[in-house]
Amino acid sequence: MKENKQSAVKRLLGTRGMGAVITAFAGLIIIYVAFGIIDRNVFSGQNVMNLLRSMSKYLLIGVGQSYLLITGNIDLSIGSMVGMSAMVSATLMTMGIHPMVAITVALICCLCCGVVNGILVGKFKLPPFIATLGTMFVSRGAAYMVNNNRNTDAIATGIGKEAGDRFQNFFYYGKTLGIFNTFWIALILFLVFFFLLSKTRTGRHIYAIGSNVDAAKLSGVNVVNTTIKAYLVSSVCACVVGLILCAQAGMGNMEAGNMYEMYGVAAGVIGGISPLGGTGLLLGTFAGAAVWQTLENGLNMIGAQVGIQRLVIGIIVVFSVLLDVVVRSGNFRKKANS
Amino acid sequence: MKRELLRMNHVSLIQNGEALLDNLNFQMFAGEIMGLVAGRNRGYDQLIQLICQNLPISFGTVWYDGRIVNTYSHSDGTFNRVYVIEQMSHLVEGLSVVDNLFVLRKGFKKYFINERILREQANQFFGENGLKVNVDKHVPALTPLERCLVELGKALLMGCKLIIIDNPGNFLSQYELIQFQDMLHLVQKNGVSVLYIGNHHQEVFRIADRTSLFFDGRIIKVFEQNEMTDERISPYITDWYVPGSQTNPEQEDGVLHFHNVHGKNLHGLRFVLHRAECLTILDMDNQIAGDILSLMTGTGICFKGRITLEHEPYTPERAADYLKAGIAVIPKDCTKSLLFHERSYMENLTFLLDRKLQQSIIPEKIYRSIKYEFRPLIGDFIEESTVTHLPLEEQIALVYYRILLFHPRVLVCIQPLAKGDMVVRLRILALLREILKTGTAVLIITTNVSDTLMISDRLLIVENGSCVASYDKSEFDQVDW
Repeated sequence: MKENKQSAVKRLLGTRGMGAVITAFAGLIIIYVAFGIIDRNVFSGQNVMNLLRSMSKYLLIGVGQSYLLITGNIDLSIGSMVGMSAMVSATLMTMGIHPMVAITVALICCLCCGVVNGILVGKFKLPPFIATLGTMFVSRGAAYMVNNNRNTDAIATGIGKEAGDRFQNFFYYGKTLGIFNTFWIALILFLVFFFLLSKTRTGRHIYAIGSNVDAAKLSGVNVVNTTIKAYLVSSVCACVVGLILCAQAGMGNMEAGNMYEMYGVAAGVIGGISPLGGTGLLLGTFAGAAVWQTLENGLNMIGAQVGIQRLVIGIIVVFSVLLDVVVRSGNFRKKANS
Repeated sequence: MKRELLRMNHVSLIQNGEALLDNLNFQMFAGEIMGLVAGRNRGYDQLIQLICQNLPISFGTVWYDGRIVNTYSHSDGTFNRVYVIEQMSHLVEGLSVVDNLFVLRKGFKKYFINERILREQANQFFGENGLKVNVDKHVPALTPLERCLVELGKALLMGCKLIIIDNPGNFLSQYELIQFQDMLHLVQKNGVSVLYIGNHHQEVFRIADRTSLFFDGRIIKVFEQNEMTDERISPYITDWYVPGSQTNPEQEDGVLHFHNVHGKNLHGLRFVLHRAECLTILDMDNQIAGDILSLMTGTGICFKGRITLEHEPYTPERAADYLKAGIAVIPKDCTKSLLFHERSYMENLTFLLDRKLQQSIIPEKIYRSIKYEFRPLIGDFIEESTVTHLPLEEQIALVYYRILLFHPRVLVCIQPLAKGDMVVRLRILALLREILKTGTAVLIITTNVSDTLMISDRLLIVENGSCVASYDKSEFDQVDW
């Protein structure tokens, strides 16, 4: 039994990509402790709760983007879909429509974007950068147009204070077991997508496409469908983040989710998801999102300027990608030697 | 008296503690076609590289064109005037033939290019050398034979005295190969030497004046003109001549039928493939492999005729999910086109398992049981976390193990023995035998049959998209190549 446990641990540690995950978690601990030493408030329970809640948005965006990075693609429209989701749901709620209906409509809009992205990239072979650049503008345009180029009023004006509070509590302000609901939502979605990626046929196909698309095709993988599925995951994540932002502000903001596509890429690559596709663990994205948020939180608490924050985060992202490239090129050298 | 062009005397090359070339002696004369057959490929790439470039060696001396160019004590890294014609083109794709020949040549100083004059010069040059090439074409439009001839011309223009031809049987059809070999004889008459490397000794013996047998970094035997026979080479490659197929094809109704099939390059192809039978199709024009592959995988359509799989029409819709129908394919360069290099050995091995078991989530105990079953065959390689570093032999074997595990009804292999040395090919044949034993029907499409016949039960010769001859196993010795 003990032997079995040992081999399970050994197997887990031997999982490919686990090195990057462990490095990211180690980095997270070092950053957190370093900021904690500078400012003791970083360790406070209230700050930890806030940190968990704030990182949830990056975690979800990171999960969506990681799915695409693993397939060797990217989704630049994910941030605009966040804005679209926030604006569509908020606009409908200000019109007095039930939150469940508003959520469903927002989700359908995002899924449509995901399908379009998947078809453009998977079927028509458009470069993902260009295809999703197009849908990025379309989604942002939709976010602007849905309420005549204005931010919405408070959602409570439409669905009433009680329903508005319920919506906001469910997605942002409420707590379950002492932890903000936002984190629970993100964690549940993370676990679902983690399972999908690591234990199911679809997950294997996603890795296969990123690793060797020709081999995947010859092995009977439906590349178009799998690409669409990956974009759908990304759109679901974007929709949920949009709802979280809507709940946080209590209204729809046309600029919601601005730059989130890049935050998603950053969370992924910091956690060891290779931008070249085919490798990486979603657990790494969790660590990446946590590193990102801890940096932001810590730099805020020690009073660093916004410029410094961006600079530090930028350096960490470049360093992470560099590490991936170096590791890969090391592999290639070994191959050549062998 | 013969003039010596290349001599490698007691050359050893040790890298990372491994002797890649081991006291190698090799000699070529001017105007000679020397054949080279690799029994085991270790050190083979280094040998070619060392002939082309004077890289550091651990021991020995290399003479080229009458002077010492490389010794164990001094290697200057210079290039010898040697040109290699291989599967990978050395021409610039976006340019025309004349651009490749003249404009990209060292010493071409003209700023303004007069294409008409260049074309005339190219025509004149090819005519003088007896090469037939349409110089108006752009490189992508060249046939494989034309591409080789242009490269041959380029080599002559560069003043190369030695041209290495690396396994032309892998990228030229039987017809093209014969024409190319004729051209090589013309080039030889002009005093240029040719090192002709082939996977199959039969092919090399046909053209070479002498043949060297390379094995594990050494030349173990040089066959003179009168020694180049199967009988003389067989003691050196005993392992190669294993008894024929162990399978006993059941003469029941066929699994796969091609009924007068017409496609892009198929013109009424008909054959039947039985259960546990190995059928080899010799594609004389090197044209039909892509067609058959696309028909089997649902990416192409049958213009006329029909295909049936176990008496059910094999429609494009059915072919689109060919794995479900029980068809598996192994394309020519299977390690590139079928392996996921950054995934683990087990993930690669079990990639088709979900289709076999028809379930998305596969319990861990099944993986454990597969590992337990395959470990004695595969060894510790099964634990590898990526397959990138596996030796070529193991990578190819992995592809076949995956098929063995999937157990399809029909396996279509395109030139399975095109890559690798004799040891690798022997392993491939052994694995194909294992696959045949499980009852899978194997269809091999190749442009060079020599070794494939070891496991084949029948041979079809296809010319211009239709079958022109058929031989049973007992008749293989009557086949006139």
